[in-house]
Amino acid sequence: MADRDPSESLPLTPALFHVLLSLADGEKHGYAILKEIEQRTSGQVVLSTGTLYGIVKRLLADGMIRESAAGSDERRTAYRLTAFGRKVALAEAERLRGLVAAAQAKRLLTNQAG
Amino acid sequence: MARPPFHERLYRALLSLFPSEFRGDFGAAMTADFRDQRRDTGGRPRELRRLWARTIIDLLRRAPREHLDVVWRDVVYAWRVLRKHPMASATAILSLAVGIGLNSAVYSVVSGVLWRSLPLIDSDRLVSVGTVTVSSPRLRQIEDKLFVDLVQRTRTLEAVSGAALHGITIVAPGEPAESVCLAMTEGLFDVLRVRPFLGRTFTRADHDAARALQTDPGRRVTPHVVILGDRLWRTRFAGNPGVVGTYMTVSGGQRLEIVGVMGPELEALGRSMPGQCWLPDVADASIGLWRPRIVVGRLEPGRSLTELNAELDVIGRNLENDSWTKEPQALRAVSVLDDIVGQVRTQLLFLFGAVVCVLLVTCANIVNLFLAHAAGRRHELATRVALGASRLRLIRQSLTESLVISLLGGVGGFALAVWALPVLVSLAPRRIPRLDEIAVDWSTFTFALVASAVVGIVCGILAALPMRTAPRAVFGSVQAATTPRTTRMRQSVTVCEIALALMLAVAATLMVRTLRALNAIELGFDPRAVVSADLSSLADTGLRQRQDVDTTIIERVKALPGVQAAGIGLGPLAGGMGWGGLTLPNDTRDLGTVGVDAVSPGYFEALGVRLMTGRFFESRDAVRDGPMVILVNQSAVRAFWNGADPLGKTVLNGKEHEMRVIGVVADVRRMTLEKDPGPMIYQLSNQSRNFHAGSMLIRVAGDPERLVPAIRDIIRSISREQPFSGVKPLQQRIDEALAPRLFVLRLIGLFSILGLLLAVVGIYGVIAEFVTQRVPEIGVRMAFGATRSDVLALIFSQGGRLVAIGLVIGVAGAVLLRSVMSTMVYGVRTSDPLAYLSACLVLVVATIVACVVPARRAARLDPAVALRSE
Repeated sequence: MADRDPSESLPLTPALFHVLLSLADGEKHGYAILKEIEQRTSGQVVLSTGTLYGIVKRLLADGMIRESAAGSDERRTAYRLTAFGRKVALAEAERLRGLVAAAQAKRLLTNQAG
Repeated sequence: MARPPFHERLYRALLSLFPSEFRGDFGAAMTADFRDQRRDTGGRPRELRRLWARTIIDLLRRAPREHLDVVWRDVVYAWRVLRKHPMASATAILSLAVGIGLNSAVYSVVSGVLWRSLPLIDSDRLVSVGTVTVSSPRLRQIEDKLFVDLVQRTRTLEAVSGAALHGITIVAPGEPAESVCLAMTEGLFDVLRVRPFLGRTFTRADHDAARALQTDPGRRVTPHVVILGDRLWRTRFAGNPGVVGTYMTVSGGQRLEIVGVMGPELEALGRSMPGQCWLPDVADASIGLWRPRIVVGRLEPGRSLTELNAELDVIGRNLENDSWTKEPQALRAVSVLDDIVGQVRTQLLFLFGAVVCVLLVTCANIVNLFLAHAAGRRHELATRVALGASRLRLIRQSLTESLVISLLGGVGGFALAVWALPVLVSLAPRRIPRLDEIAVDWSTFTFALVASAVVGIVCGILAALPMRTAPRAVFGSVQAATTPRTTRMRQSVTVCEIALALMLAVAATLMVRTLRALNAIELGFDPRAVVSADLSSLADTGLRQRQDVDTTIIERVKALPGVQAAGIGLGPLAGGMGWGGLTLPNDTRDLGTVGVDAVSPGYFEALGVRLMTGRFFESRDAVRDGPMVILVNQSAVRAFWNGADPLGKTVLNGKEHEMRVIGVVADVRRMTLEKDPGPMIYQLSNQSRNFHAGSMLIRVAGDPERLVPAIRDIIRSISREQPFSGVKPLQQRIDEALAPRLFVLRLIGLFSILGLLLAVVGIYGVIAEFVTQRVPEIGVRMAFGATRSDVLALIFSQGGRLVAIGLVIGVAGAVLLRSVMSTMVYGVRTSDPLAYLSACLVLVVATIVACVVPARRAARLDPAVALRSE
């Protein structure tokens, strides 16, 4: 697993990236992921259960997240990022940053910080 | 437990759209999450509605993708399994490709000929009507008296019309050529619901004019207007769109105005109504012309063929017995399609059945292969069962694997069919109708697709059936690589394929013996170096004038360099004429129907017919009003004179004509290859008062084609109106007679070889597995003193058991189905023990071949090694 190149998984779909992002600051179960994404995006991204677990299934299969025994109760499983998942999320964030930088260089986007 | 609330039950119901695996993994969490989401809405109706809408759309969108995901994973997995066994998989795919390809090609022929409807409006309501007798069930044309009766009395037919064959010789425009016209009664085109492609059809006035011509004895009977058929229009008039209103001249100088051209759809009527042009005619028994008619009708909507035939029984109740065979006649109707293709139906369905057998044998091998794979993967399967994979899931996996193979085979099969179908059509004998309508089309593709899907599903399920593996039973022994259930299934399918292969082999053996019997037929003549040239009659010239023309032509052809002998007559294998009413002097017997031919001097020499006694005709005999002399064949000698020397004896034709026998010749097959000619007399062509035989037979040294221009010159110099279409080798008539059976033999031979090869592969697989399973047992046996031959006996007895059961089933099947072959065999009975024995022998040999390799492996086992493998 450790040898896998995270960039091979890129680019991620927006929904998938959101799921990874919401797990970046700690493990969560499904409902918490849905809530966190909705709040963070001010209701602009609202995932439904079907989509969420389709993504969860894929992330589990690709080894980007895993089930967390600690956070789970008897009804719900919590998920946490694996080291690989974190690398992929980071790589995607870098990729997006690169895109933003390019947009700034083309003066498409003004650098608000600068 | 309390019943969950409605919204939760609804959500769960929606979840059931997902694959069970997905539901098992996430179902509970999803339900819980949804419950929380619902709680968040606080029961506000608007938000509740939005949540439901979003969730339902989402679930409906996701579920198919999840299924696809599972299928894709199964496909990838199946592909990996196949890659692990490249040889076995390639064999399976290839054999399926061959099986499906042959099936698709044969199906295309069968459906194109037998099942595709004719290109005419509501063609399933079109019927042919004719008379039949017990011995000749094929419809015969009916005479005007009966036809008029039918037209007046039928209530089941909406419309009915008849057409009589009427040969004409077109002499202009173009070269003189024979053409068959249909003299049709009013309304034929309305019955068929066809409109002319150009011009018009006949009017009432045209038919009235035809009646006037026929009732006036001084006039010729060919009317003045004609409608062209598509083929005649294209070949003779080069498809000229301006042909309507022009004239064509027929022999005798009469001109016919072309009033219309019919479209190509009528060509599909083929031999049911063979005509290249149409003439107006009336059906009136009082005119006194003998013109039997092909009758075609259109059923009233809602009426059935059965109802029509019940009505025809009443209309035809007072029919006289057949004048020749004295059998009672009946009036019958069949669908026009049946009338066209009925004769070849059995043959084609038989071939289709045989090729389906090949596919079944292929399927048996595929099932065998899967079971072998499954055996090899037993531990993996058991692990999956232990991890919670349901039986359904295993069947689904097996189905996917099988569908991957069968669809790959189907693709190959379709490619093969695209290549094989034209080959098949070109091999098919020309007497099979509608061949030119057959091409690879969507129905070929659909068949290949459906066949591969069915094969995939059936094989997948069969292979999954023995997988009822309970985990505990599996982990028990490392050695037992297969369950008894798997082994039994493998043995059963192998027995089935042996049975199928045997049935194919029996059919092939019967066909080989049929062809051999046909080739051994004493033809009575020597076809080598003989060509025939058609000198068909000029329809409107008198018989005597005709005979004089023939004599002149023959004399001049005989004088050509390279011609060894030439004569005129019907020739062998070309149908024939029959006479009734012959008697012998001082003998009250009726000689029945006797075959007759009118031949010129030189005919027998040209044909190479053996003279038994007496002499052939000579020029001095050919005196038109001189004493009538005849030759007879050997059958006639036996039938008329009990085998006594007939030279100088006489036969009476009616009261007055005395015919003296001057020679006896060997029996010559005249109607068909198979049929004994029966008694036959030959008269001199210029002494015949009844008919003119239009075939010139020429025995040539060297290339007969060299003669063609000279013969054409001779014919043209005598008559500018005589059609001449070149020469044909006499051998062609024999080849054409053999063609239908040769076609069946070629295909059935190919099918049975394939069946045999596949059966060998199947038997090999089962025996090899048997040996693998028994390695420890064989070790024990050898350690206790069993010799190599004991081991061999063990292996061969195993193979022997399979083949014995397979042969019993196969023989039973072949015996049950033997009537299917009865129309195809000749000179051998369908229950011929020798055919069955030799087919069984072939399979026994095949089994031995299949057993040899595994048996040798078993016999060479080192007991020590074998024991250690326990």
